[in-house]
Amino acid sequence: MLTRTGRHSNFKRAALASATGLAVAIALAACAPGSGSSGGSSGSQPVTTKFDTSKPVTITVDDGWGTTGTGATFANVIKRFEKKYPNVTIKRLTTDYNSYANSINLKVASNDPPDVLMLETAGYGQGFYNFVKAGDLLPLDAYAKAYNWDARFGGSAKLDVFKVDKSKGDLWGSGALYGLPEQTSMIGVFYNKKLMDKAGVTSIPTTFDQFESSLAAAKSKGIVGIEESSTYIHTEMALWDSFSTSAASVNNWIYGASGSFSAPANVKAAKTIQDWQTAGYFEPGASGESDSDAASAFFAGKSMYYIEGSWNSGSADTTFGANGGVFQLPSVSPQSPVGGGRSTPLVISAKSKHQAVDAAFLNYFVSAENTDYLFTQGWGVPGALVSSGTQATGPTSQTVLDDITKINSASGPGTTPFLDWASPTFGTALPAALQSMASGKTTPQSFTGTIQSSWIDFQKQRKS
Amino acid sequence: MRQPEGLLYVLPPLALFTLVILVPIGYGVWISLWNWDGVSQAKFVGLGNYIDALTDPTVASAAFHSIVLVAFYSAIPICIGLVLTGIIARHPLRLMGMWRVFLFLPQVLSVVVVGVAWQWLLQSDGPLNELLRLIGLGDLTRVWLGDFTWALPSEGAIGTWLMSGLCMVLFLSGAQHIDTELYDAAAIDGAGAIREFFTVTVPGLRRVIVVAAILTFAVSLNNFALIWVTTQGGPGNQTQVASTLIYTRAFVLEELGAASALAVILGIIVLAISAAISRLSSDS
Amino acid sequence: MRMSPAHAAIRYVFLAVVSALTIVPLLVVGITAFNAPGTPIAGVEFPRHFTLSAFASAWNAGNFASAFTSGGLVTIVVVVIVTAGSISAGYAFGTMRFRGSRVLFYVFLAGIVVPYVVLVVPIYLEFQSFNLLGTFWGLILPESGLYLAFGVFWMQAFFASLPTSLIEAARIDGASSLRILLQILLPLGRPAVTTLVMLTFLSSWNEYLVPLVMGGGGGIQTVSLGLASFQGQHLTDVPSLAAASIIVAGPAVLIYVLTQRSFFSGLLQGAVK
Repeated sequence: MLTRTGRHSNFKRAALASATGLAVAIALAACAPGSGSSGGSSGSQPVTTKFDTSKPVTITVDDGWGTTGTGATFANVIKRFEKKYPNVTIKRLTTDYNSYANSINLKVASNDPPDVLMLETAGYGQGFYNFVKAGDLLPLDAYAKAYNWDARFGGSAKLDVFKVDKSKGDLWGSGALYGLPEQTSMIGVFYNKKLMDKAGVTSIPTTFDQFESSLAAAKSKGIVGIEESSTYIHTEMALWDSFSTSAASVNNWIYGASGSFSAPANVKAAKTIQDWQTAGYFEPGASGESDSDAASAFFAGKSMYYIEGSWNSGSADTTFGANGGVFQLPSVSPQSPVGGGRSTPLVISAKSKHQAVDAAFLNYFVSAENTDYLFTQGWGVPGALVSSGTQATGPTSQTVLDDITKINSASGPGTTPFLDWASPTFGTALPAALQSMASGKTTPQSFTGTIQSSWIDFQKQRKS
Repeated sequence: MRQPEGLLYVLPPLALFTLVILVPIGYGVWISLWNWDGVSQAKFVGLGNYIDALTDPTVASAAFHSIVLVAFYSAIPICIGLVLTGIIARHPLRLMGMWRVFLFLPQVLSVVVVGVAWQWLLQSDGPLNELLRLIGLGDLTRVWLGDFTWALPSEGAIGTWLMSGLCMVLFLSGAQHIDTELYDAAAIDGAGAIREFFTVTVPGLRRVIVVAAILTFAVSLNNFALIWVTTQGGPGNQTQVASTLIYTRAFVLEELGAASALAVILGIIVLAISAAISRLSSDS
Repeated sequence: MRMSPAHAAIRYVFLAVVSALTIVPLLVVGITAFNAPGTPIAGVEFPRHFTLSAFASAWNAGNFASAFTSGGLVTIVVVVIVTAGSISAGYAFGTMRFRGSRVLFYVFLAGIVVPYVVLVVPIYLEFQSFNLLGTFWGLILPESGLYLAFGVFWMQAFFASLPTSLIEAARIDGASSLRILLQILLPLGRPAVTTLVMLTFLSSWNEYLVPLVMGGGGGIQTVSLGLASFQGQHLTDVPSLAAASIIVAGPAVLIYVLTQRSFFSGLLQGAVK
């Protein structure tokens, strides 16, 4: 192969060459990475609810719903919009939900971002928060006023979850509006009636003790109690909420105002997860089961319960019909909140060159016509208000709609947002920490303590 | 005789290579000196990212996991290949073409196909567990890729499956070039099969072993696709390795400076070890 | 030392066992593809109702038509660039002496072992500033550069193995270096070049990380990317996943089986010499 002679001088020469190359590269990069590139919107475009319908225009819409199920419905929504505005062509980019978040991170900051995006998080969640902070998203207040979007959601306060105040240290919950939700959800316990019968559970549990007894009953009959996914977050949310006596105690923490992740109600929630896993109420290998795996397993009849978001109601209707349903995890008080709320916003890139068209698409999406259409397609409960009398796809969807209406009413207990919206790192840190804790590798106290320290660090950093 | 026009032949591919490999290396080193999320202003931190990397327990555990996988991707397949060659190769084989096609097949598949296939095979209701139940070892069943203790060894096993065929094909072929006289000499000296293996076969395959070592070592550190498709580094951080850590830092957490520092460290390690391996070979 | 018949038999047993361990896992997965999509599969079982419907549904749902055309285009261009560049540089490194040839050759060699994940961030940013993300060249150029390292090494080894007398004779006859390459040496290099083309084709066709990062998230689709995305949506639909895997692996395996003779002779010549 290569001769040995002259190797030392060759290394010296190679080193010299590399050093020269490095110097050249640095000289080319000159200033700090990224300075002088991107940032800033594409000039101010007039806010209008009408746009020129004679000129053909193409906009890109990026989402993580894939091509089947929810994704297929969204494809239909796009088709219906294109039919309404024949001069608009929508180029849709989609990939599966789990890889979507990674695929858009650096795309949004690029010189040619998608015009309209769906984001999996809001609040301080990774994605929404980073994009708002960097100025990549278009504030929607002017369009909200022009289209009167507040009315579609039952008041401006309902959209607070998608507002960030950049003048107050990126404070979440007030300020400019950045997105419109596609879903209003609640975390509930989906159930498989046939398996409940087999386990000898004759009625829906109304107290927590009854719930745990039903799990034990299932276990004794060799039935998996809860199909748990490796994220564990929604189960934790459900438990923390049902052990709390008010939405404020949980919301204060998620919104970054006050409170602690190590609140007794949450430590109890963590311990419960650990106990349930040890007792074998989850399917074996929960730490490694992906979200879609868990969903498929439950709908294939492999477990009695499935603690998840109400966006599964469409699947429950089509799969189980009258033999399925959803109930709320029994709680310690009628004022105990429910996890979920409005989520998954559609947003517009600040650099979009067709802001009026993008806003028109958003407007179409939250319109009564489309919202009712989504509800009849098993979408779950859409973000905007569903017109009364709209046909649900089945008993579960109807239950969900009724429950959510009650929860969100003036006298209802209200909802708490998703836990991973409390900090940009929680989307990856929480599942990993929960997996360790659930398997008994860490104690509930040290688990909550670690997350709490991380939360404190983030709040400091955010305000600085 | 010097032929300066040689440079002209080298220039076009060199230009592309510079653009796509050399400049990024330089740029990567440059970025590693900053804290940058790809969007806002970058903050100069000098060697800060390197210090963080070397003191970060996640990095340490990812490094440990990578080393474990090197054993599975490199050391074990090479041993398997050598042992098999020792047993089989002394005399010509029939149907060699057919055996080679089988053994080398995993190398032809996309790693995503390998990942998708093995993910199902190792599932809790998948064929491996069913096989265990069938032969009465039902107690050993578990969710292999989802188990805290077994996820990393399972990833390793997939790697061993993937690379063993390559090593076998390389060694079987290389063994055909070993001078039979050496074997005769060993036999005359009264060497048994095992002595023969260590004194004739292995030394005779030295060059091929080096090639196999470098190839398998490179794959073991470049296995991002396989891990990402099967476990994404989970459960917890049990299968987080050097390559997945760099990708996660860069594209999930958007810490480009930290990711680049890790990349530089990994690059240096790979180059150093490869140079060492090839130096060991020519120093004979 | 003669082999006892028992020893001879044992060799084939070992070979058969190892080959089975290699192939059987793939077969077990493969046969599930002949069930209807969505059929729950528990462990190893033959399809109860043999059908090809999973292939049709996987082809559509995974958008493989676009993956094959886009991915195919990228791969073809990559193969052309890498083959031409490797022959060119390999010829120079293998037969000529010139200033800097040693250093430059080492530089190419280093590219063989450097894991792509090390380069992924700067290449991404570099191409972002050229506005090449999500374009064909955004995939073609990085892949070509990566595979050039091995290609140059491979062709250099071939050219260096040729008898110098051959080249000397042609030079004395007054042939230019280009003529020597094209008319005399290249025809001798059919096996080496064929192997290089095959290996480059396989690498590019199966590539996952480069399209993942550079493809613009759904912009340009390649088969590996399509399969991974398909997996994300259909994680428990085993027949569809198996069908999609066969669709993706099919072309490569087919070409491999059909050209295995020359492929292996070229490959092993280069690696084992």
